[in-house]
Amino acid sequence: MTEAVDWSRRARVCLSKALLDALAGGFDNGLDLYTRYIDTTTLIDSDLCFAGLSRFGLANRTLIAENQYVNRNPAAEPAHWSILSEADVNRAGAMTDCLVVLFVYDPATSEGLFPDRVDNNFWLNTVLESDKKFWLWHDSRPRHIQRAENGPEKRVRAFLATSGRARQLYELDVDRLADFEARAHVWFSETPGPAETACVSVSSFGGDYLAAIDHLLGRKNDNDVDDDDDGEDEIRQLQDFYLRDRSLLHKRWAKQVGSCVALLAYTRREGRGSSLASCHSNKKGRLPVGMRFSCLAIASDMSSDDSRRDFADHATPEAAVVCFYGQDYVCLMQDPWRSLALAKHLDTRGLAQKLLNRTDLSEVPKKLPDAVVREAEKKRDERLEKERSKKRPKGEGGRRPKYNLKKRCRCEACKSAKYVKNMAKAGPDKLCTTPYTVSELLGLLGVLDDAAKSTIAQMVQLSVAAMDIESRTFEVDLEGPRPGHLVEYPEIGGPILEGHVFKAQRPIMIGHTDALTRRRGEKWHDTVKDDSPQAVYALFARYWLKVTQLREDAAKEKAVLAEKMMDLSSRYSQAYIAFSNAWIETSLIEREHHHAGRAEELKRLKEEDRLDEDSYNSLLEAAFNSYFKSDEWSMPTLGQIGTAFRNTLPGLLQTRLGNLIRRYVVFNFYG
Amino acid sequence: MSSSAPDGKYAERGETRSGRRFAQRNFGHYPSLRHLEAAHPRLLQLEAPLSQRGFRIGVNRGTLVQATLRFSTRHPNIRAGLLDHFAQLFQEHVEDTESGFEVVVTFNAALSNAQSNSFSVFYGHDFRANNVAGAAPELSHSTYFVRTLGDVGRLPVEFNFEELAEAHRHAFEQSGVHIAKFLSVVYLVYRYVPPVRRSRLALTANRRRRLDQPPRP
Repeated sequence: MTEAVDWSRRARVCLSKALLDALAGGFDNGLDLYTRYIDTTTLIDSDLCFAGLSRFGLANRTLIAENQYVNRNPAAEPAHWSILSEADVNRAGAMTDCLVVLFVYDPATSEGLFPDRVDNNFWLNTVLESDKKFWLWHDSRPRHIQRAENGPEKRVRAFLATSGRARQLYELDVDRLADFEARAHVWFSETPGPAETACVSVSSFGGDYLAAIDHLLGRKNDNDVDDDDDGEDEIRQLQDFYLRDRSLLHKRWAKQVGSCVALLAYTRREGRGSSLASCHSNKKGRLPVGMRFSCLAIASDMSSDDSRRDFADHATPEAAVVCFYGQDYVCLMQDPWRSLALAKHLDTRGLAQKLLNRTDLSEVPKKLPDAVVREAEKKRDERLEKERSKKRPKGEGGRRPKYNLKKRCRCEACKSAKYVKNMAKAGPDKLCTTPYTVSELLGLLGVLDDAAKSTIAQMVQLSVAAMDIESRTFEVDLEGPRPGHLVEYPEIGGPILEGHVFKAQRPIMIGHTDALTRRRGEKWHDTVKDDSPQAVYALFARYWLKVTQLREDAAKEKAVLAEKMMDLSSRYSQAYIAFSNAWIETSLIEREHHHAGRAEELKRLKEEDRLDEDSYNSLLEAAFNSYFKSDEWSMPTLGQIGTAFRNTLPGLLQTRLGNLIRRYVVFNFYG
Repeated sequence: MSSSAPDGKYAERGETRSGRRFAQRNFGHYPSLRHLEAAHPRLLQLEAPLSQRGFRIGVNRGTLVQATLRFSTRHPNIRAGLLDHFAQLFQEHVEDTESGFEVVVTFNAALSNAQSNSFSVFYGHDFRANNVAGAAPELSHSTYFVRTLGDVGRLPVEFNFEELAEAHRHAFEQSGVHIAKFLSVVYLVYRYVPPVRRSRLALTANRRRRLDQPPRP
């Protein structure tokens, strides 16, 4: 490679698209690579409208190009793929079968835009001149495992991104990668600066990583080697650390580092937006932005128990952290980065810690305890309520309006506790539950035979009535007898109805029928005495009296019909109350026995001078409280027993029968 | 759509177009172990490529990613294969504080009847309702947690298959079959991926866009 090309076309293309374009070797362009990426990695539900992506695969390229990649605007970041995401870059690298290495250079404001094509030495010279403005940003090599020792090495592609207002992306010559690594700034080492001065070079130890770490930790090969230290001669590849025996590693450096040493490989400096600009935020008194590592090994005292396990949960706060920077440099991390790395990447909290402390997960319960679930549900409800209250529009003066939460409906369904629980405060929400009917309850009790069905049918028939009203049309008084408000006079129409209403209807006759009256052969109807409104009122008063009377008659009839079923329920009730009383009596005797026994024991202890007066009194009171005031020994009242019975099937039957007896529904023929 | 043959009998599955494709799968029993192995060449490969599946959990509750790693019992170095696959997984799913991979170990085995004249394959990767974290309850081995690449060293790679067969001799008792041979070791790897949240960059861009708009009169 003779010259480096600017893939961002002088900052006209955003960094993510520029990198996609650069990586798209085997693909047509960056869009093609992006389309493949979306097609292979995006999980789409079949019931979403977006399912066109999965159904048509690559055929629906237009949708991806227009909506997700935003092809018309090169400066716009594509959706679901970003150069700022470590995983995204790694996945794109895997798709193009290469390992991506990214550097960042932070130019001075005066430097402006860099040219489209620059000589290979341009960037080396530039970063050589700059001071602490060039660093390794992304390195996917530590997590690459070379399977065959003599197999072909995976291709490495290196890029340099400029930060600041104009972001450009250049591909670097891989042959010069070692030079760039040497000049990349290491801000977390003991002596911050370029890697060649701040770090120890592994190549200066013949490529032996262990020897380089020995030097870094101050271990002298001649004196410190134990007789039984065998098998840890040298490591020539980073990947060999992953499966190396931790106990031998710890034994090797125990004298120098004490309890624990963590070996990390730098993979990424987390960057989002403006944080690309500088890695020196600690100058402003703030902690640096996040870093990501691949954990090569954690060797601690615990390693002797399980030589192949990383005891991340036992990494002590004072652990030494050795960090590899690129392939050739290694340094000792310093605070605050050392403790940050330990806390952020090695410290395991919560579930992870619990899991790591186990040898395997077979004993991990599949179901959470009920108390935990209840607590979580309670917290969720509180959170949801908080969110709902935030979403409600604010009334005047910044106060949230109070809704009228009182329900006016008194029907059986709305009175159900389950229904109330499922109602949101602002209105009906989720689920409407209905109670068991009489026939269902009889069926559940096993007594629903044909006779019972016939009885229920008769009771229902007696509960239904019908009425009709005959009316006559009359002229509407549009104006009062005299102008002004001297006399209150009802007026219909006026400006509200724009004078369209001239006529209205007034009831003159009413008729009513139900099963009982039909059986008796009665025909009830009533008419107004004259044409006045008072006569209409008197008509309805008489009608209402008639209806209440007919309702009472029907209720008496239904009570006779339901006698057998009520008897059944009463027998259940008596048995239930008798059992409850017997249980309470037994419990009272038991409670008295326990209390007396305890009091006697305390008395004996006092007589033996094993208890002083105060202790005796307090223990006696505690005993009294534990037997007579605690929930464990509390006895139900008669009312509570009654409530409990009403929630049983016979109790529900009694309630429903009572409701059916009282119910009298009048239909009319007005739609 | 079911098709019927001219003689009035329903055609066998293998005669339809899709049936031909899946005929081998539909034919589950073989007279000898040699026949079974000949019919399942891909199952007997030393190492299967890494396959991943994603399952949506609820609506906007995240994704459960399941990766399946399969190694033949004849594999000379399962550890290296595991390390390679997990390196790939750790590249795709970032190694961070409180996450990792749950690994369930199970097996594929050849089953045989008491007369040893009928052989079939039993898959440890199970889709029945009573599976144990994706593994068949009959052949589930154990579960591990891999948080860093170094934890791959803890995964079991060497098995005493005679002892394993002895331990599982009652697993298929009700069906009247027994394990004739273990074919492959299957590692089911799970990871919970939380739902994607809007990045701060996007939020900043939105805010900037709003600021660019002219103020309301």
